[in-house]
Amino acid sequence: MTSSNIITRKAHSDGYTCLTFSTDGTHAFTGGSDCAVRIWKVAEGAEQEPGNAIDADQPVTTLAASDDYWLSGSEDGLVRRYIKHKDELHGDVTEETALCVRCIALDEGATRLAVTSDNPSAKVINMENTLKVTTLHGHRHNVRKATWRPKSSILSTSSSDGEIILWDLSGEEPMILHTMDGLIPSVPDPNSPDFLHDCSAVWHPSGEHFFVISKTHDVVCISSKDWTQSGKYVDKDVIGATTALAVSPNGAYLATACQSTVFIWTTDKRQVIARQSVNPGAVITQIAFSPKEHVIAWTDASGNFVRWREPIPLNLPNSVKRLSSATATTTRTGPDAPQVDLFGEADGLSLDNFKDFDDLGDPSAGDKVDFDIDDADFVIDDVGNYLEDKPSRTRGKEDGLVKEMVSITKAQPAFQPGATPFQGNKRFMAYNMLGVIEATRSEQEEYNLVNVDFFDKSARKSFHFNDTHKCHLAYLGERGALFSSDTVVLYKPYGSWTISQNDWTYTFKKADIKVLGICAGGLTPSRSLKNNSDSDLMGFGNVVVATSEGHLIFLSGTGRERRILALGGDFVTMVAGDEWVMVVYRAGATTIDGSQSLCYKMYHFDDFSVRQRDELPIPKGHTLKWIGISQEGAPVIYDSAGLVHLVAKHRVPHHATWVCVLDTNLLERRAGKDESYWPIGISASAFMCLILKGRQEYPGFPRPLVQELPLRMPFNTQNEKEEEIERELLFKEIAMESLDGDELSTDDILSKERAIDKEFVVLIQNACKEDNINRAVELTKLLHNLQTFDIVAKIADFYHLVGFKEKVMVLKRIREDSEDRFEAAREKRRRWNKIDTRPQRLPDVDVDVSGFGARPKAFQDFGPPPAVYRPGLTRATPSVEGTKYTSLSSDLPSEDTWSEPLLTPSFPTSEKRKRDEFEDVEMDTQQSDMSSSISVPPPPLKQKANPFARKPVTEVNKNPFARKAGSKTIKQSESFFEKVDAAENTPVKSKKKGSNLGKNKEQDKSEGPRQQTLFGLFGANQNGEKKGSVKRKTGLTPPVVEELESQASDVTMAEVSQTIETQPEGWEETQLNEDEL
Amino acid sequence: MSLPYSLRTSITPPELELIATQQLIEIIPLIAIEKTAFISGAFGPLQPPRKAKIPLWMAINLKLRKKCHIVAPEWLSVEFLQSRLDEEINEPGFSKLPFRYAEISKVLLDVASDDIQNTDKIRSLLKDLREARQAKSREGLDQINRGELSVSNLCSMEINEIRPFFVHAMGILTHLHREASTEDQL
Repeated sequence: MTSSNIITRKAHSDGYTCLTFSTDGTHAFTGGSDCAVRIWKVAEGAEQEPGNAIDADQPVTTLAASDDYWLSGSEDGLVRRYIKHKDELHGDVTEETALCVRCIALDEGATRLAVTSDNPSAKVINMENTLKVTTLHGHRHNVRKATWRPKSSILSTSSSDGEIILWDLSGEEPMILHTMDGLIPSVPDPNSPDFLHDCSAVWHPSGEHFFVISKTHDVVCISSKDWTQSGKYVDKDVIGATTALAVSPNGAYLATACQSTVFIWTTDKRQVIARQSVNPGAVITQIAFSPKEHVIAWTDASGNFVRWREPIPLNLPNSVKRLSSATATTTRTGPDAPQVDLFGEADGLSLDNFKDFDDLGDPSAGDKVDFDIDDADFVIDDVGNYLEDKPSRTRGKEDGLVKEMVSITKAQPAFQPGATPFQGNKRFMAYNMLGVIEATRSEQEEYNLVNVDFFDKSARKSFHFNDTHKCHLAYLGERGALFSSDTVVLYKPYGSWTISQNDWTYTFKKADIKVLGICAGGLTPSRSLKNNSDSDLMGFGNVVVATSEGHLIFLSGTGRERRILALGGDFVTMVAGDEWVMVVYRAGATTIDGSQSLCYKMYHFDDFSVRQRDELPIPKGHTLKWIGISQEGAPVIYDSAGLVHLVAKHRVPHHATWVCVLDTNLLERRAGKDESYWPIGISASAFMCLILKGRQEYPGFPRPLVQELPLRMPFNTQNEKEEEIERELLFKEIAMESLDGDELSTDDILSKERAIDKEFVVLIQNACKEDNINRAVELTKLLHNLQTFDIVAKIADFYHLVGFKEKVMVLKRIREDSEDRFEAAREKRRRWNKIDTRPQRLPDVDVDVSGFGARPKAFQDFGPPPAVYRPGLTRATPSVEGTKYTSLSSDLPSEDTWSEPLLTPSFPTSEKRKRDEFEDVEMDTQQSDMSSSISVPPPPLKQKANPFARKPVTEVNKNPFARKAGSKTIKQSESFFEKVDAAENTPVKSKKKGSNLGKNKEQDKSEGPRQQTLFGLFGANQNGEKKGSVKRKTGLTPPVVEELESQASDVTMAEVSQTIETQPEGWEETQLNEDEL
Repeated sequence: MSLPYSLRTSITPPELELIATQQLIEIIPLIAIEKTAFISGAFGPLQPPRKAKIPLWMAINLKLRKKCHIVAPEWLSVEFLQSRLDEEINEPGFSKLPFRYAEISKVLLDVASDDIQNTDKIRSLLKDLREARQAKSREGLDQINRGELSVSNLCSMEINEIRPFFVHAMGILTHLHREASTEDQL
């Protein structure tokens, strides 16, 4: 500390003095009680003659400088604006009528000026239009000081009663963020000696915390996250009241003044590294670091202006950005645009440079040579701001250690889906459809309490443990929870009573490798993992760890290392499904126009092959917010623009496409609300998320409820039905893709198709109504089931669209002749995906493999209960039974009337009749499906109802559903036909009658009158009733036995339907009642 | 049965409660169950954390075993009830409440009070509502005649409450009327 570094100059008369540097650091301004402002050239020595600005009538109390001008505030109540570096008055900015101006502060862009005077309300003046003034009401006493938080619109004001208020001025109206009472001393009297002491909140350039002189005259550090004290600067040599303080432009040092001595502290270790005392007895009123040079300056109450060159010991990095000496700084002009800086507030844009730099400079920080991950909080804090960076700054480091291009677009840091930062002492580490991992910081900060809670309490057992590794990454997988600190990976598979029995940890040999991301995937367990799961052969799934070396380490569920793959890019995040892991990474750098340029790869767990590789569809200027898996197993992403995209065809190598399935900005509930969404999961119909109100960025505690928002693809059509159909088709396709190699279809898919067909019919009907035949034909082509074609034909009839009906019938015939579409789809799947099938679920050990799945489960039959056969309730049918003649004679006239038209073209072979009947039956079932809109899937077709229909055995294969039809029905019908044969010709004819009842009118015009004569047998009034009963019967499947009986006894139709009606009627009534309730 | 006379002629509240438990209610299940067939229909599947609609009786059953959270219906909130109470006090007619609100709210408050916010306030509001409505139905006594009584928005519990007396009263009125008319004829 040679004295040559100290330049002292008497500048003002005794009294309060103030000081600021110009933003380029070349000039310093001092003001004092002699009403003058002196302008000093920093480079020149003590003998220089300063410029004078003597416009003020009262002592100058405060100064501020921007790129274009400098400002002074005086006790005469005026804030004056001067031309840059000169003493020329430009004009007044504002006038506090006869009130002393105490402090002025410019924000970072010099767009706003905060002015405090002897007045409880502070003012914020728009510097572009000084008439635009915002008044901040909130203090109860005079406001003394104001400071801006760097990189934000937060203003902190300190009042004379000891209150600090933090204002959010980003919106139209100023908002009080926080009030801190009793932190700073209360000094109501401006003439007391304590009034000379600084009481402002001095912000660290990162904006993460500020320093303030507390009531007890210590310097304390307040975190801006929760506004609590995070540190204290004490040293045994620092005795007495601290009167002024300042932070170095790079944030590494803090200068405090204790009476007439200046101390320099390091902000990270809170140690005094240098001290200087120049004019003993003079209270230092203000300290300032030069924004550009290695210079610190202060003024004291005796009017002295002191500059101290190179205050930081040479073995430590200096107070500005560069290691080079102060003289060198004058030469650097080129790439570095002059920056807007306030005194004490450094250029925060390149803060991460400083951070790295500090770590490098500090010998004890050798274990933390990572770039931005070591300070997770900082990174997260950063996310909100980085997009505002202007793409113009490029800065290199001359020390050659790190060359970094800052700028352009800040790269999105790595993250775990569903994780939040600490809010208070709690945070979510993972939040997905399975459950939640919460971490709670313990009081002593020795460990975190980790709580794993599942939504489905029956499948997995919730647990909690004390995490001594202080893991900050976690992933909730299907078969185990994965945790990781920087260096240790901990896997806790579910499913044993002694939780830790199967746990394993994984560590690295090299010390400097850090874990960036983790995930664990596996097949959904077939049953609860809560109990003894030893019988489960599927193991614990797969674990993937992404490291800072750019590697993906694949481990088995028991911790066996399997493969280390190089990712070839910056890891961002990943998610694991049952057979693959999807890794999101940044292949190169972010682009200059704001794109994150994120890509993904899908690795297969079994063979480590890349199944898909593509870019992420994130709009420019936006980031990836979440990545997850839909219930159907397709990967889904959510970006900050509020769009949800899904990977369709992800199982077909290199065929994947991004489908936009939801735009949350278009949600109905979003209208007029300020809210955002925190996705949890997605299914075919719903987007599951937590709703964040206002500006909330993360869900908080207590855990909010999962909300289901309707999924809606952002179609522009007004017709919601069309969107719904397309969405359902998409998810049906996804379900089809995940079918096994040999599987043709599943019940689920079939019922889905039926539902979609139902909607298609509605659309076709609308198209017919509007006479849009081409649309109707187009929709007809998309139909799934053959039966639906008949319904469409009926619709065409209804609207008298003969041409359309013909087309429908042609389409139907084509469909009939073509290959079964399920087989075609399977063929396509096989072609695309030749080698592997879906991962097979191995049967559990204690399940009998042969009988697996054969047994129907209890309570899973949604059909109506079988009708109880009550012989006592049936109508007496005595006479018809015995004599063949009676039945013959009674049926003879009818035979004559109706069999003629059939006989004329050709004799009706039994084959032909069978087909007709078969189709009729199908139509009937379909009809009943359509009419009943209950969600219960219709009963399998084997229970098909027309008791008179002969089952065409040869055609079974043609019907895709026929596989399901058991052999039971066929057998019965055979026995039935045996009886029929025995009963000669006549019963066959009555059978025909029965089937005709179900037939619709368009079938055959000539049949109309025949039916009527038939009905005439039983009385015309029974007509309607019979039709209805037949229909219901088909839907509700009466037992075959009874039909046989009725057939054999040759009962009339009315009787059959009546016996059956008793039971189903009751059934329907209960349903109805329930609806009414 | 040792029920008071007034109750013997009508359905008892527990019976009404039983009927009310057939209604559907939303729950957040904590266990997974496949779609299951019951006598009253098929319900499910339950897939946590997705909401599901099941009958109240089943929800109560699950809730008592701590296997679900019940999502309080929209009308069982302080705001809704307060607005209805205001309406009840300021307007002559009965306000529109769910037909079986009394039964359902009682069951829910008994069983799932931890899933409902502000239960104390809701309880007192429900009590106020009940008293206000009871007062109204008593006032309606003077409008009673032998023919018919049409009151809209009356709830099941209230109907049940007034039924024995009103029916009796109407019977007497009819009787009186008939006597009067026969006297006229004479």
